[in-house]
Amino acid sequence: MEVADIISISKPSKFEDVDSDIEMSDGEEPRDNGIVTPGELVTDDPVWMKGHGTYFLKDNTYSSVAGNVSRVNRLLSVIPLRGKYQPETGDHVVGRITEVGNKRWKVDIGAKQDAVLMLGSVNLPGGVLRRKSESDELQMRNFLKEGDLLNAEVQTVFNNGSASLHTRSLKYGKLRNGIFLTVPSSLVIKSKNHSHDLPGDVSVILGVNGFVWLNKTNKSTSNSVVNNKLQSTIDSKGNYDPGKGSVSITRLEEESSWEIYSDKNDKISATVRDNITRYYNVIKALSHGELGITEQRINLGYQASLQFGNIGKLIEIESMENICQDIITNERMRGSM
Amino acid sequence: MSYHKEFIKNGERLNGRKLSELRVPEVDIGQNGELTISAGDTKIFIKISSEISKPYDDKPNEGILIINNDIDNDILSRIVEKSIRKSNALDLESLVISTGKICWIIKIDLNILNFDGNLIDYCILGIMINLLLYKLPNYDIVDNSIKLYNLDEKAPISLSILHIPICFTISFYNPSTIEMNLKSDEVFEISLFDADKQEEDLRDSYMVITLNSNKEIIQLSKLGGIPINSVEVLKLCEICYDKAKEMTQWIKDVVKKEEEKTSDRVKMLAAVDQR
Amino acid sequence: MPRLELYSPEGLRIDGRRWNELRRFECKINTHPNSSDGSSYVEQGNSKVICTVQGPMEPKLRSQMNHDEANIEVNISIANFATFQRKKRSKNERRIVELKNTLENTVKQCIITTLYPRTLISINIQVLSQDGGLLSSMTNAMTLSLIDAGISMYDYVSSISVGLFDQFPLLDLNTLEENELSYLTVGVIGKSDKLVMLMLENKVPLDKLEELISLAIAGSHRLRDLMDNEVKRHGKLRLKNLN
Repeated sequence: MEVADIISISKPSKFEDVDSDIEMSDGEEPRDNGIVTPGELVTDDPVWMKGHGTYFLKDNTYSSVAGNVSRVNRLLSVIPLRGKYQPETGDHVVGRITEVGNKRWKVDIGAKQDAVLMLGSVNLPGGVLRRKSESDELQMRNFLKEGDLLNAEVQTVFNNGSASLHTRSLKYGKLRNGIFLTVPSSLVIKSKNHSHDLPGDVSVILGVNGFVWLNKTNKSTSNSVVNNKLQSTIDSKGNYDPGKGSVSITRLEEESSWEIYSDKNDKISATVRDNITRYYNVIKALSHGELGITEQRINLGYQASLQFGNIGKLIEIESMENICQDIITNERMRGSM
Repeated sequence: MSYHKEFIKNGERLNGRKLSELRVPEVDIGQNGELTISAGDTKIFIKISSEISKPYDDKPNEGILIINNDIDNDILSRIVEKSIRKSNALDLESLVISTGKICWIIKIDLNILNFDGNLIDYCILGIMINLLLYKLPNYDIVDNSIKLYNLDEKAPISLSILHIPICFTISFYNPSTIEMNLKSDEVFEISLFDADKQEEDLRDSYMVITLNSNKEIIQLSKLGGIPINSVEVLKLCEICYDKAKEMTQWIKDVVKKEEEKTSDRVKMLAAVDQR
Repeated sequence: MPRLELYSPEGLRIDGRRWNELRRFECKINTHPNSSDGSSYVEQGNSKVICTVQGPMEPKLRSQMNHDEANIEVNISIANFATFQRKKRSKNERRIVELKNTLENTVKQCIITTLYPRTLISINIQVLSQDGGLLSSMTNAMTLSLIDAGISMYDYVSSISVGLFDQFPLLDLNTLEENELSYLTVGVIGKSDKLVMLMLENKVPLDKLEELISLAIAGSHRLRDLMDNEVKRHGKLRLKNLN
């Protein structure tokens, strides 16, 4: 029975522009801007090294994901269109405690496995020089318990892909006074600084893993040593200035009190709450429009959102698209696209 | 364990059988409806019992067949149901005494006594032999009640078996890598029949096929597991059919021998009576 | 009641198709971007299935953690309104457990599980409407949502059902045809002739098996192409948006 001529479909396929793909046979190499799909032969040249997203049999390299082919030097890999966050050393992430275990916490950072936060990697109240004691191990829940949010830095990535975090700096630690949201991790562009102060007494932490924290600005740990608003905008653009933003030993002593692990939220005024909500909806709009999220775009988005008096209206798809359009036009005008 | 797999790759089995060779089962027949089937160390006790009851409301002209399993094995239950009930091996319509009012319930109870691989095939084999041998007591309908006779008072009735399903579980082993199995055109997978427990633990996947000597396939289940070339599957079906013909003949011989034994016994008892 | 003319002498089936015609096949991927890592929606004729994938993620129970490979879990839910008559189905119904095990064993063959040790991949299938081809539409939806999630796979698994009317094989059966005819469902790997899944639950003459299987394989290859087209189209659209 001839296979090729017996199958037909009762209605024609709607999309005509995929004709070229139907013609593509297994033996050809796809164009560089084409999408390859699992099981498709990428190349039969044995000279390539096989990277992520591929598998091989003898000389043939096949794709294992749907994505585009990347040929860098001698490494052939397929980058998937969508994927979970992959932790890398140095990433500033926001996470949620899922488990309290033996001298360690398990933290959900939206990766394939939960990250680990060792007891020795956190600041214990009482100063940086304080030593870990037995009783600390038994009181771990007093520091961080299941459900707490924190921001941390990825210290190492193990062989199996899971991450180890640390919060050994004052800018890291338990989060409070705010609201949590997620965006696709691919939209958060890696930069030197992920914590920004936004106008309206709001701060944002854009975790590289796509977890975002919006909160009322904490005056004492605000992201600039000088409480000058103009100065702080320049600083958070990522200009490197050694010594800036660091604190003296005495400041550390003050701040490593039990307060850093307190669960108590401050009183937040209605205006600040409104601002936080507005920023939340703006970030959601950026995520919907699949635009990369930066401090500049959040500010532009905030400006654009002011035309909507009712903050609740921002959750409508029309408003979201409106805001994204405004941001893009604005950027084009400024010439910084 | 890998040395065992090496043997299998070379076509040899630790139990000395060929890859396509089945164990020869032994059947131990007790009283009416009691049967123990053993093959190697696998041993199953099957009991058939019958009762008078009312047919289901939505099936007034059919009797009732219930198959019970004492171990909670989904796959075994599903395949036994598909092979025996769904294929109508036992003619349920023949179990009706009075449409909508009185019918027989046939209950089959499976008791797994010892497991050394290949439960499914031997359960079905045992059930079929037992069904073929089972005798229902004869009856008379007096007014609106039913009078049952003992098995030796009036000649008992055999069950109406429409066909004999034979089941084969084929185990597959992948001698090389997954990539070879999926992308290479050559057929690599090794198939063997009637695996014992060791072989079952090692196997990569399996396929269960039930057919009868009328060249009908009753059911075929390959529910996941390593992919097998369709040409191989068809080849295996042909092999199974040949074996099914042999098995059917073997079953008929076993049944015939047992019936002769029973009729001899009856004749002997009758002779004693006459004196 | 006279039997519906499932296959007329002119070669037409009750819905007007010929013996070798697939039903209308529509599929979409990335239908639930906010609530899952990968998702898809498949329509085969009037059968409608949604599939979402969560993972690879941290297993919910310690016991589910496998140190060498990913653990794969499939959950099937058939809506009460999915069939012609409203029917409440329990999750532990034998048939559903069998389908769940089949799908798990099928998908384990295609996902490169050794790449994701100590994680759980959770696949949730929701059947909205069932008009024949239940197992095959679930398999197809599952393949698409796994591709959407970016989980490494060796190849597509496409699936279709084929029935036998007297001497004639019929491709892609609907409910009416399934109720009357013997049929089998196959799951085929990519463009090969290798079967990962083969389920036949009714009587079929052995001589007809070859014809049925080859028709099923050809139908599966066609479905694979249709799914592939959609994945590529969606991919191109996404790339265009991101640039």
